[in-house]
Amino acid sequence: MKAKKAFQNYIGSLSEDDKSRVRLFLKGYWEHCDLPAAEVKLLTGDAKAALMYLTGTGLSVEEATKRLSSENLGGFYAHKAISWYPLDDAAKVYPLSIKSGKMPIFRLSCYLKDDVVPEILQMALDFTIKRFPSFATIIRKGIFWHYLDSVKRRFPVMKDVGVPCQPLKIASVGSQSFRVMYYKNRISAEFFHVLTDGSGGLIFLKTLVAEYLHILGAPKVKGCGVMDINEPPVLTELSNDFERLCPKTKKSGGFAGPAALQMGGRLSKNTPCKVVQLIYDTGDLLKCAHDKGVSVTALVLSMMFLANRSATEVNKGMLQFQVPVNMRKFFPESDSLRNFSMYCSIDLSPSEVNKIDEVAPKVADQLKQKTTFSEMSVMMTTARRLVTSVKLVPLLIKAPIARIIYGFLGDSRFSNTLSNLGKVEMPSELCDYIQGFDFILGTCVVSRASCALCSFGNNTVLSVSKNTKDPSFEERLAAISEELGIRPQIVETPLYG
Amino acid sequence: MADIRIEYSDKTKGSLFLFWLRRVLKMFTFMGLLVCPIVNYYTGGKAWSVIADVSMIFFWIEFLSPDILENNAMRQVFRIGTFAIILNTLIGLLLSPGWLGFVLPIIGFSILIISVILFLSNLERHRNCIMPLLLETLMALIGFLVANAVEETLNWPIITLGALSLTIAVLGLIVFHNDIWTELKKRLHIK
Repeated sequence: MKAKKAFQNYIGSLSEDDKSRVRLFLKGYWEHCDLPAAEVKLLTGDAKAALMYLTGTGLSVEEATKRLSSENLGGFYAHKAISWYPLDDAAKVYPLSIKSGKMPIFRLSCYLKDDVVPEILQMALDFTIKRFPSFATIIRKGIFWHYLDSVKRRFPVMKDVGVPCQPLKIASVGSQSFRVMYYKNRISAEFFHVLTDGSGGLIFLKTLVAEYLHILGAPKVKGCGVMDINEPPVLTELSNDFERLCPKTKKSGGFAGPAALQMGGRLSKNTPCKVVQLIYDTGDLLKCAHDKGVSVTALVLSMMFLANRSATEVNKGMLQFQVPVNMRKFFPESDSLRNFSMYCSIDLSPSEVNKIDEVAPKVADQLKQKTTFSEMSVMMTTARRLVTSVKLVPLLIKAPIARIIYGFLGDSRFSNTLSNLGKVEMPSELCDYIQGFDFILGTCVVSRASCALCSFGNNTVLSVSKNTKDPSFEERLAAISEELGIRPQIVETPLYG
Repeated sequence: MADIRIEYSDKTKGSLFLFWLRRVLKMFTFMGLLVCPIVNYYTGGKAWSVIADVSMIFFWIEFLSPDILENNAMRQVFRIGTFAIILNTLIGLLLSPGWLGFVLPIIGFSILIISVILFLSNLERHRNCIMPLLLETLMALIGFLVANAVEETLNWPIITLGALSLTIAVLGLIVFHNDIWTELKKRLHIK
């Protein structure tokens, strides 16, 4: 009611010309929406709120209605939800392994120089989602596999409170598998991993941020991962590239392996119970890595090995770190927005983990050997064969078996994870509006920490999602960084649970 | 000093009450699952522990470890209906026989009526969730056909069940044949 009255007052204050412009503008919204009345009301409400905000900043009604034009809605809200997408090979395991309170979620955030305007962010999301139809979906059960079923509704932006990467509620008919949030100068997008991987998620976030900034007056740009929201989605963006591009290799391997040595510290009830972020100067980090003769990934992994080593009192077993590998680098023709990553395991025994100068070359060697095209091809082929071999087994049988296997093995195969998204690039026209990006992984079941790294400009942010309140790991990580002369700035969430 | 401003809200930890409640209830339910058959075995008499255990399994599935995917109202009605039929069948067979042929069809058509009302209450939303209703109708039709083949005379609940399921099937196929076909294609992964 308050919003309705505010809009009536706003309309009353306009000239006749502007009144007719606004009427035409809203008519466009009604024409572009063939949704239940409540949803249409929400969408037009978004448009009204954004219009009032923009004109409140001094923008003319003509310019504001142009920026918020209903043409940006395309046919997304007018067409029936009939599309559906089979899960890609990497995503197939996620719905089989989720249980209450544990869901593979990751978060990507963009930090702006100014605080976020929720009304404009909502409009940017209303416009952007049509370019990513596989994100506007909900996961459902098929006879043989789960699948993504399209959902046509307005996806609300939410204020970001509480711990990052909380499970999504995906049980009801019209729920969603991602969420967009804001807090002060941060725009975050959290994704259920069935939708996409870090690369696909980053393209979505970049496009959303670009559209948000465009509505606020930045130039309209594309490139560097920013998509034109008004172009129709390309079919290959929605494809399962494991199937489409799987190399024809006869060799295959396996996914099982011995359980890894885990950090000490009691597992928390709320997961993650804390996120700690170490912000490094990119130049310093690069220099340090070059001095050691290794890549940034190898350097950070080495620091993590040392920190992990001191976060446990057990010496038996191997420290095994999972490192996701973006398959797009081997298949440049891939433009998939779905999952297209595999992983490798970097393993060291605790007795080998003493000094960074000893650990870094070993880690770099393993990284080099295990992330080659042939190694990844073997893993991709194995995944493909596994999927093909059980494709005719009904989900009713597959799901409980997978759950039992996962219950026994869990993610105990790895002590920790490092996902490096690398250097995030934005079109130069938008860089002036942006401070940086960060990337946060949700926690696993048994591993006490999961780490994610990304850099933008001078900032490289290492995010540590914790599954235990024991701070040994991150404290040691910070201490090692200082010893290396790359003192990070540390930010952390409150402790939950 | 880094030139990025990262801040988080001060919200303190959320309540773990539900987590602990669920955990305690799981423990008691699990104990009940084991204790009931043992007590029943030593005290003898009718096999009431089967009914107790099935009820506890239902309680576990529905409330203590609910499905994370597709746990919507249509499915809940389908699941509750299925359990009601299983439980009543067991009670009828193990504790007090003689009334199953009358009560089961009543439960059957009641579930059908509830599902149809629920389906029509939000047609746009439930159009993509037609599978439970489809299965219920199919099961009701099979139940009616079996009763028709086995029984000499049909009681009014069976006749109502048959008439209702047949009506729903015919009307459903006429009005929603596209939705049914789309739903089947998705479920079977046929492009």
